[in-house]
Amino acid sequence: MIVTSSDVKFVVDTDRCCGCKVCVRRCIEDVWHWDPEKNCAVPKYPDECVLCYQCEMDCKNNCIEVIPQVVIKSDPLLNKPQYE
Amino acid sequence: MDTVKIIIDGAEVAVTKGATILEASREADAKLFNMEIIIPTLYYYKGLVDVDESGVCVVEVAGYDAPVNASETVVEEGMVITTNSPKLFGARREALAKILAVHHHDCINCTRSAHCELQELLHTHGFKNETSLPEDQLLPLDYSNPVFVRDPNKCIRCGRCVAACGKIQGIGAISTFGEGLSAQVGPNDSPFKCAMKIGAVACTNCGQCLSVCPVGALVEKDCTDDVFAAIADPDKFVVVQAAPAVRAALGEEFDFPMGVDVEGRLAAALRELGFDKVFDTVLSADLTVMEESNELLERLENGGSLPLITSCCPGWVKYCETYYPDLNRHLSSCKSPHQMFGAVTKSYYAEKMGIPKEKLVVVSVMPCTAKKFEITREDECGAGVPDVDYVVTTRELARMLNKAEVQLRAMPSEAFDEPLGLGTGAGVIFGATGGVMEAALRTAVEKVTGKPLETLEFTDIRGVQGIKEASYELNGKTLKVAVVSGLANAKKLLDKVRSGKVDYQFIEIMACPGGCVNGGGQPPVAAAKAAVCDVKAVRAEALYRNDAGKAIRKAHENPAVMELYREYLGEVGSEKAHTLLHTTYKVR
Amino acid sequence: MANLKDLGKVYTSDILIIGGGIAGLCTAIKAKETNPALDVLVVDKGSIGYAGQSGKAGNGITGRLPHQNPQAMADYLVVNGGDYMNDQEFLLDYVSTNQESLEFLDHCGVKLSKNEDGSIRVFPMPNDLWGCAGIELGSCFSLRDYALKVGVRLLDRVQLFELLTDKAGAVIGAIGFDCDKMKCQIFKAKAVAVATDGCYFKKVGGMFCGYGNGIASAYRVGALMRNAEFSCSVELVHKANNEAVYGGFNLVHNKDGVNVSQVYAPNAEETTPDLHIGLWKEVQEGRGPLYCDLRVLDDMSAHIGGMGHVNDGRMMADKLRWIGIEMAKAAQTGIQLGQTPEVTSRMYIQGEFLRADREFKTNVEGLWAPGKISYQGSAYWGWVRGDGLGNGAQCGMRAGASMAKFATEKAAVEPDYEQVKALKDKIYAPLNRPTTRKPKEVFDAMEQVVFHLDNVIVKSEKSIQAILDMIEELKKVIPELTAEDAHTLAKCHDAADSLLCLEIVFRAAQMRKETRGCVYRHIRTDYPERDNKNWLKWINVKQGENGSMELFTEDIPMWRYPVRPEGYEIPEGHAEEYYV
Repeated sequence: MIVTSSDVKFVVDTDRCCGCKVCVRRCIEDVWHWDPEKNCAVPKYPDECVLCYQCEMDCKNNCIEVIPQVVIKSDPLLNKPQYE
Repeated sequence: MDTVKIIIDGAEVAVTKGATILEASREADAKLFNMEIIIPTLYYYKGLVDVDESGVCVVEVAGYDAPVNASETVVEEGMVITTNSPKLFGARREALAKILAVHHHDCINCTRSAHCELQELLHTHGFKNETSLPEDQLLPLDYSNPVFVRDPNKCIRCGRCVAACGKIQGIGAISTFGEGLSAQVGPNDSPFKCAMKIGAVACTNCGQCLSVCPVGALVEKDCTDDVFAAIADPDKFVVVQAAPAVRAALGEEFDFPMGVDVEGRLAAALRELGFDKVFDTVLSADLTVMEESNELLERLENGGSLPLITSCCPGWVKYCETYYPDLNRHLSSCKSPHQMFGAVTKSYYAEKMGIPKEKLVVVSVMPCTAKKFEITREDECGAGVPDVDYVVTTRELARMLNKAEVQLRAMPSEAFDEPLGLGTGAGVIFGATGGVMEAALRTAVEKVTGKPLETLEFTDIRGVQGIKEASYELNGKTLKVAVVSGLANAKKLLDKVRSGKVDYQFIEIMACPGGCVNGGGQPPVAAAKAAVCDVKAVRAEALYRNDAGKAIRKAHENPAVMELYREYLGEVGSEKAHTLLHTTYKVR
Repeated sequence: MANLKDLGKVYTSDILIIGGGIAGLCTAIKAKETNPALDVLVVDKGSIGYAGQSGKAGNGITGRLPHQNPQAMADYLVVNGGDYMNDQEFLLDYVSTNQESLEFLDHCGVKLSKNEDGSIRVFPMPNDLWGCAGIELGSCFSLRDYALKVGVRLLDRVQLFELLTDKAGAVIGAIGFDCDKMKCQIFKAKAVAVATDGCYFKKVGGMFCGYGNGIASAYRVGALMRNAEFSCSVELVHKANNEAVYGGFNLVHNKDGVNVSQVYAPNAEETTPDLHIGLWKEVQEGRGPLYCDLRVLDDMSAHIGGMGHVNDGRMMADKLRWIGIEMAKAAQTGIQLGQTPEVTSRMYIQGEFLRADREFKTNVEGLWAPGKISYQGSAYWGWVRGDGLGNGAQCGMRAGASMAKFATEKAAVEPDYEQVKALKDKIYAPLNRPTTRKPKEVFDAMEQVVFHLDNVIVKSEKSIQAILDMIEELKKVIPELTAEDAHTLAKCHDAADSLLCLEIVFRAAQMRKETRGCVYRHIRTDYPERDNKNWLKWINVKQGENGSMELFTEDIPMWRYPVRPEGYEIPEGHAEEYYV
């Protein structure tokens, strides 16, 4: 399964999900949820991923790959002063 | 103690002479505060499989070209050891890949998922492509044993079950044919097979093989669906009771540190599951003490079969009936506590509450797999219906709580229900080896001497050693007792009893080493943890702490038990008591 | 008779701690050990052990070597930390127990760096005023284990949004819902702590996951906020992965190879706004892109970069593994980190301004605020590297003992059914609205605020007013936010609470007409100097009548403190009260 948001691409090998739910527990932004119909964990709110990679590191069957698409959307130092 | 100096991962440390590199690494890990020394193992289990041939337990030693087996190689003065390197990582991956080739990797459907020693190693070694075996290569599951299911497709040939049954229990109902892992992919032609005899009588159902299996090859038969169905059935009144040893270990399934007594939370959690009444087996342990201490004193006085041997362990009872049937007459006629409990529930409690006994369902949460067989025995229907309907192991209860999303860690501490929920400290220690004996002595000694005991702790029969003995003075007469756990130890003692070489009057025998706290239904402990932690002692300690904290610590002072006799059973050892609370044995 | 159980699942305990990170767990453990008969319950919106900032923080924690003098550290921090905004008595008390807090963690089984003899190993910081010990990445797991051992209850995956109060306004519970099934959860307690972290206005790459629920719910029951105008800071980060370049602040170079750190912030001991204002100038004037030269590390960089702990394999292993993965991931985006990585600035607004006293108690009876939530509001202003975790243990020791004492003597009060029902309706309201606004709109707007140096670091009446105007517009969006499940419902409230926190920051910034601060600096281009004559004051914020926001100042009792700005004169009506 591939789930994409503007910043992050999740590649999830759902066939090998073992049901441990460590990804759900580890995620500080509540991105991962258990899907009882698919019988696996899914990144339900990919927009809110902060790229901590804990899910990828701790997935017991190494099913998760978190791929940053864009990390810094633009450089704040390039912003011109707004108020004169 | 003699030591040798080694250099492990760059750090110099003194370790015990004669130790294997694996043992030395644990010593080093404890001694070196700012380093972590971990040598992975897979087959290894302290006391069962000391030489790990999986290929995972390897290290590099200066002077040797190839990785060496850390569990086999003894340390030498000046040895330079590396526990982690790209070469070792590769060697371990190779070893794991070979094992994977014969392992049906089906985690989502496996009860050991997230608690599996193989899975953990595959995770840390970056495996991403393990698969389940193709359908046509799968061997059929073995349901022949009454208490567990054997899945040969998951077996990784560690040999722990063989060692547990053969070495620790002295039975050998499981054995191996052939050697090592076949290099072939697919098990059909593998020369390595598990023995066929598990379903036969030779097995005592003790479950020691289950609790040491690193994967899901040996799993108890699960009845949790039936229990959920009974709870949901409006027509049934479902009563649950929990054994003492359960509260000493249930927490481990919920990430509690080992040895935390979760008695109050257990009661609250069972209530959350929806049982109609939540009672405590500890009460019936007190009941067992009443009946059994009476039996002991009667035999002592009237010259009955001595030694009297405890009968609360169904694994031991089946062993006796199978291997020492001539000693059947020594067994106490008392049922085990949970069976007594069921009989009392379906008579006394049913009548008291006006519930027809056919609508009553009794569920026992036990640290034990043998009890799943016990409830099917012929003479366990004191009230005319089976005393107990379902036995759920500690592990199954954990699965029920997870399924029902009950958070054990969040539960408040609650009391068990009345009238069958009050247990004493004496009943609680039944779960530790020596506990039944100690509980019985607290009552017997006070009864005979007529004086209250000064100290309630009988420390010389506490402890995790396999065989313990002690003697006590009872009004001028000496009472010699022995406490045994583990069936290989039992055999040693029983041979002596058979030949008349010993003169004990009272013997406690538990099939599981360390007693029920280490029962076949308890949470499995990974080998790495078991190697550095005395699981039996730590869990037993939780029970002794529980006992010390109880207001009432003697079975004969349990007001609920007293009321039960007063209101219903009459005298201790009465005819009614005999019908409900005692059983008979057979020759197998 | 209306029963609370009809509204949701009810939990009762003596002490309720909202938030199960290092501060919440330390508070719980201390309370339970102070009086084991108390029933202590910790609740977290995540899974305790993994949850929050501290669930993934480790490496260094502040300590003290025997020869180091707490007064010297305190004096230093008044000048280089709070810029005279410190409660100096509290600061001295706090830094005096740096080492004790480590011993508390050790007692709880948290892994710290050790000497051969088993004593805690502390490394001196370059200024030798305090030290730093190594701490494991999994401190919250160790604390969780110990909490369970001593009998603390831990509840996972429940998020709380409102506090319950009795007739006198004391806090007696909380209400929220569980993160999976969205069922209402009601909590009754005698003493409540919000250990819920501050408010961080969400940005990618940060472990800071607080949305200000604790601050906002405390605000709504009358708690005071303090020092909100000092919430802004800036960090040097890798352009590749938005991760902080710890210790790199002295090593920034422009495209011509000039070390611009030495131009704008020579020999700094910490990252400061001066540097970043300078970096902005460099880029605006065409001398970017900027890079950090990590080929030769100076003393400070080496220390802060964690090299001081290079021997502590146990501490470093997890962190190095994590860093390794992040670097690999960055490489995937096509940018190599290497030894001369490109860098930029990242602004933060760290809203940690819930006011707390020396026992980490708020002004509201029955309500405590241990942890980051009151980092600024408590005004000890003791921020040093390593105090992030140190603060958790320090607060825990004080708040835990204080809550235990209070709860032991207090009788339980039953919450008012009508109050609970009204709060429940408010919490679930976004599920039943005909409108279609989403929380993301509010978060994106707030994130844009944080993205500009001249909103956050360098302020003016004009910039502040622009932001306050934007906040007024966003306030109209809040009642139109909709949700479909537990996650989106929580986000609606997170958005509202974060917006409130943003308003508190900028109203306080508007009031303070001067420039002051060190790392957390309030810079006004229209008032560019320190004004010690008029502004040795704290600004407090609270909920006023009709839900408006009220601000008032409070004189800092400098006449009681040892360290005073040059030219300070004791004001009329006060006498010298500092005695050595």
